[in-house]
Amino acid sequence: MQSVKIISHVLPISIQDSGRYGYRKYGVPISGFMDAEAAAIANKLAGNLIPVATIEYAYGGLKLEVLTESYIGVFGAGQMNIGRLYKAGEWITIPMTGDAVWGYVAIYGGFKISQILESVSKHSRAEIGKSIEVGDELLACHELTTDKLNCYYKTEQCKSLNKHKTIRIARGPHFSLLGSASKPVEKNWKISHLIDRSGYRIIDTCDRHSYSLKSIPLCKGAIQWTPGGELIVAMADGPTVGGYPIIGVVHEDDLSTLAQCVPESIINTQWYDFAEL
Amino acid sequence: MDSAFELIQFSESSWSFKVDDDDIDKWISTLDVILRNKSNQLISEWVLGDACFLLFVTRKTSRAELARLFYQSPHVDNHNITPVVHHIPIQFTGEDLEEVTIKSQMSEKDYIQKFLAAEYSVKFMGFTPGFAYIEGGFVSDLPRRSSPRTHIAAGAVAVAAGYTCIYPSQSAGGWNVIAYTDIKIFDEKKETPFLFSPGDKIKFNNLLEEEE
Repeated sequence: MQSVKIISHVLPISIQDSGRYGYRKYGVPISGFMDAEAAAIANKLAGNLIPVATIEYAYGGLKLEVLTESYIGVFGAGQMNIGRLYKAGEWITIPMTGDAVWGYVAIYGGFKISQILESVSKHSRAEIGKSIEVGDELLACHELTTDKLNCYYKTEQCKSLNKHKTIRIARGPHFSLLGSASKPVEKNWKISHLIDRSGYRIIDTCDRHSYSLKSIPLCKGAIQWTPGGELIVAMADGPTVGGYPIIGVVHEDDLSTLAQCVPESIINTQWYDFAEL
Repeated sequence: MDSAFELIQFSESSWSFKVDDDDIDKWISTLDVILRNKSNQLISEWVLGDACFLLFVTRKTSRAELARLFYQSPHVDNHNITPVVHHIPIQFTGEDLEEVTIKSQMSEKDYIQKFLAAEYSVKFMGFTPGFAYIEGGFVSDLPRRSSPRTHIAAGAVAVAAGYTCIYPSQSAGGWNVIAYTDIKIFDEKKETPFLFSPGDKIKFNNLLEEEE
């Protein structure tokens, strides 16, 4: 059976898939890949047409040993763009990087991890899903059958990580509360150092406020305006309900782009109303 | 269904769905019927907040399609709904019980008596998996603690901001802990991992009295 061993990592790594759907009414976030596009490419590089259980890392700094012959795809932060057969004993070294946030290591057939609530995705804050640590040996779900192996992507066909930094934002239910202080529309956004799988904070954009609202349901991409004047974009592990004003919602197709924005990066925003599309 | 509702698009594939507070239980039943219906291709999931639902839908679903789905849904009357009732044994050993009773200007005995006499229902869930915002009672309208605790044990029964809650797992939190229960309200290994669901009714019993 194909397998790899975690030799070292700098920042936490986790197993993710496309997410945990159907449990949001119980307060369970969807989790899943932070950059679904990069994860899909890593999987295609490993010969998986559909994204399956994949290792997600942040900023690189990950070292793996291939224990038995395996077909592996790596795509994302650290300018990784590999898809090939690895022999037993080979190492995969992903350098630390500051140019993108998330990257993925996929194996042909996906890693064999037991599902919880119909997904393998790790949700750290709620401790749902299996943790992976240094020394762990991860098996694939399938034997490597080279004759059947269908490599959907060649590395040279891969696009590089999305570098254009414009994200589209639909005006949210509380947009009007911004009143004349509608600065987030006019200004470029600066990503804070406080970014994680739950949310991305945007700084120097809005004023403080003292609105207190009833909790309303959120989705990934919903932008909450905190009393302290920060904006928090809900990401994969973000809450299912929130009590801060929601001034906008990031377009679903732009969430991967946002997810790869490193702290201090500046992004352009393009605002729209649903009627316009 | 013939009761009034308002649909506002929230994201590319979700719609905010506002209904009258009195109709929420009916709409929970209706949405569950729609989701169980295999021919439903529009709605995949719903979340309830304090003020409205969020419906997760197939992308490019229109307001007209959703409205048609609701108008065609079977009529549900409040008296047709048999709510699930949970009896939760608790012990009033919470760290903040004394402070809560002082702020509520009543004796501990009176507070406990009134707390147990009240009927509760799960208004919505969120914050962490299985965390229910439980409505009802008489005096939960206290603010959260000024400095949140870093460690609250699973099973802590706490009050704040007009709600009661039971911590499903150990976590940090700012609610005022008045009691504890041994009942597990979230167990990811169970076939039915969540004890509560929005709309469920809850009755708290005093564990000590039960044992006597």
